[in-house]
Amino acid sequence: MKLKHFSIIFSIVGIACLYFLSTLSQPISIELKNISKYEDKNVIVEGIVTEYYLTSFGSQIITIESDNASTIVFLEGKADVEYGDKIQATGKVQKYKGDWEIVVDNVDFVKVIQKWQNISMPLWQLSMSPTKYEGLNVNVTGYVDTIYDTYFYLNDLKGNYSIIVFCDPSKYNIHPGQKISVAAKFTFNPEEFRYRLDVLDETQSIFLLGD
Amino acid sequence: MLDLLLVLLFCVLGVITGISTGLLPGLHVNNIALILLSLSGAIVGTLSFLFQYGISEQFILILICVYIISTSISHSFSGIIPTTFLGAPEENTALSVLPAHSLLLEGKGYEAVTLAALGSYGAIIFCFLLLYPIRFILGGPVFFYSTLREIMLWVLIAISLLMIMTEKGRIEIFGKRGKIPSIVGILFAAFLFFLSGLFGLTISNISLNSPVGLSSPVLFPALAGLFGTPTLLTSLLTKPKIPKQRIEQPKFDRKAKKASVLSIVTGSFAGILVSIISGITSATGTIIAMSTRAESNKRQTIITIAAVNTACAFFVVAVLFVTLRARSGVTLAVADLITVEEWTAFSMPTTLIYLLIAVLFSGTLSYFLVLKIGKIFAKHFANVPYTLLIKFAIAMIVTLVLLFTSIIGLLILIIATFIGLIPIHWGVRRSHCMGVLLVPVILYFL
Repeated sequence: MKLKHFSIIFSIVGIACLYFLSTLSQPISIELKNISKYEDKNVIVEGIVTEYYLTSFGSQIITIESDNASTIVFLEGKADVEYGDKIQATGKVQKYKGDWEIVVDNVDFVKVIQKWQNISMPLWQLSMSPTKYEGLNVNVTGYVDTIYDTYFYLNDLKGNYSIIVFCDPSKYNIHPGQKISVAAKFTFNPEEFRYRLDVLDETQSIFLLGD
Repeated sequence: MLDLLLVLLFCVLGVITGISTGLLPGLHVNNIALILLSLSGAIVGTLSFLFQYGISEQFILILICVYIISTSISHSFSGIIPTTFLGAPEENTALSVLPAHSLLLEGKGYEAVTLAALGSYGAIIFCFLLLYPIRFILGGPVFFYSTLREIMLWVLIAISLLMIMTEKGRIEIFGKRGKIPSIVGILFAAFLFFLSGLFGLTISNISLNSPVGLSSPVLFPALAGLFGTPTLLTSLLTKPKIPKQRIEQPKFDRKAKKASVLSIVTGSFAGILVSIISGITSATGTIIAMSTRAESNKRQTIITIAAVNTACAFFVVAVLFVTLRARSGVTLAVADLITVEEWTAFSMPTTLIYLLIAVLFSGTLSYFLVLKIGKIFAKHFANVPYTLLIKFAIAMIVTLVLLFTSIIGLLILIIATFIGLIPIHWGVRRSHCMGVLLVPVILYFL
């Protein structure tokens, strides 16, 4: 056997060895606050989508947040995410213009692990940390209070917390005292100096609950 | 005035660096760019005395970009010197001999350097002429780049098929007559392409660490192994007799002049393609350029390769401002250092003007320096202990790989070297090893 045959055999054996090696260096799960320790490493991160947009060249920039730390996920492609979704991204940690980001080169590596509509919370929880959810889609449970033409008030059971919900109440067959969940966008209105929920599009709605 | 003088000064420094890095086999300009990027904070600190002369921090960052781009341009010029003088195999034992090595073995190494310098400089001039047309084609109003992204998968498949189907190597294991050796050659090229692709897919899942804290791109040991060390090892094993080199300028008759202009034009267009299409490199660009020609010879191939390399180094900069996409380590570093302003209007962004001054000035300077250094190499080449030089070059690559990518990188280098030896020993084109990039990129677009 000549060197030219050996080069083929060693190449194939070598690739097999590298494949084995690559299985040992699978991405590790990290918390967002520790991202700076993993430059150029493949990692898995999880967080709530707080912002997302498409660039003019078809890439998607998704900002995710978890435990008061946030990072940017730079995705070559477009994932089907919405504000408030909990996602998992697998990619390489890189620094871009001084900020850390996860570069994900395949849409399949961004997974929505919980849609925002499925992450429900009571009204008091929202009122405890409103800044955490500001600008996001949220799914809040509570009781219908006074109903007007274009809005109604959502209270907790004891009436300690209350928030205004803008929508067309006639569409949802709700009445005062009824327990509901509101899937809506949570924003702060600086003119009225208060937080509000807006049911704006078809992904947002009001659901009647049992008791 | 001071700002222009500083730009020219940083160009000169960049050219000196680029010529030096180009002379060191295996050291890619992208690695230099990434090292400079990591040092940029310290460089701004060192140059902070310029603040009192009205030079802003932003402009110092532009100067670092000027330096990086000048380095990349002069590196693309001087790379021909080690390519020509190092790694030539014994012509009878190696089936695949690079055109520059072929001229070296005829005692015409200096001619190879001259032809390459001509190709590179010609590409710079031609690329300047093409700057505005390409800007309007890639960006508004034509927006060809967006169209290209939509059909990128098919473009890459077409390029891969072109590379494989134009293989001219004959493999005679199943008979020596008729078309069978040519068909086996094409099948073997496909095998090599997919083997390299498998290698590329495997290494893309491996994370590397530099023991000294440098950036650790996994492609560095892979490309050095596929295209660098096999040539050097073959040369070491076959011990070629390098004749005394003659210092002769290439003679161009009318036909050769016309062919050379065509080489520069086709090479430049191919270089532009390389700068905008992900996954293809200068080697692939050269095949595309040569495929458009009815006939070719080794001299025209050298001019074309040089034109592809330099046109690519030129246009990655322009493309960055048109598409806001960094297509090389150099432009990644630039995009990280400064805010890249999209070139949408007729007039160019000021930063791009500075960078293009750097390209033109460093290209001119590099042209004359490479001719000078090439002459020195050719004159004294007979006195150089050739085997020792090759061993030194291999040791240099191994050291750099260890420094940048540690022991795992060395393993990648060794395996890549075995793959890189296959085309040399079987007599097919080395560029099929570009499957290392093309296969993963095609799968990404699928």
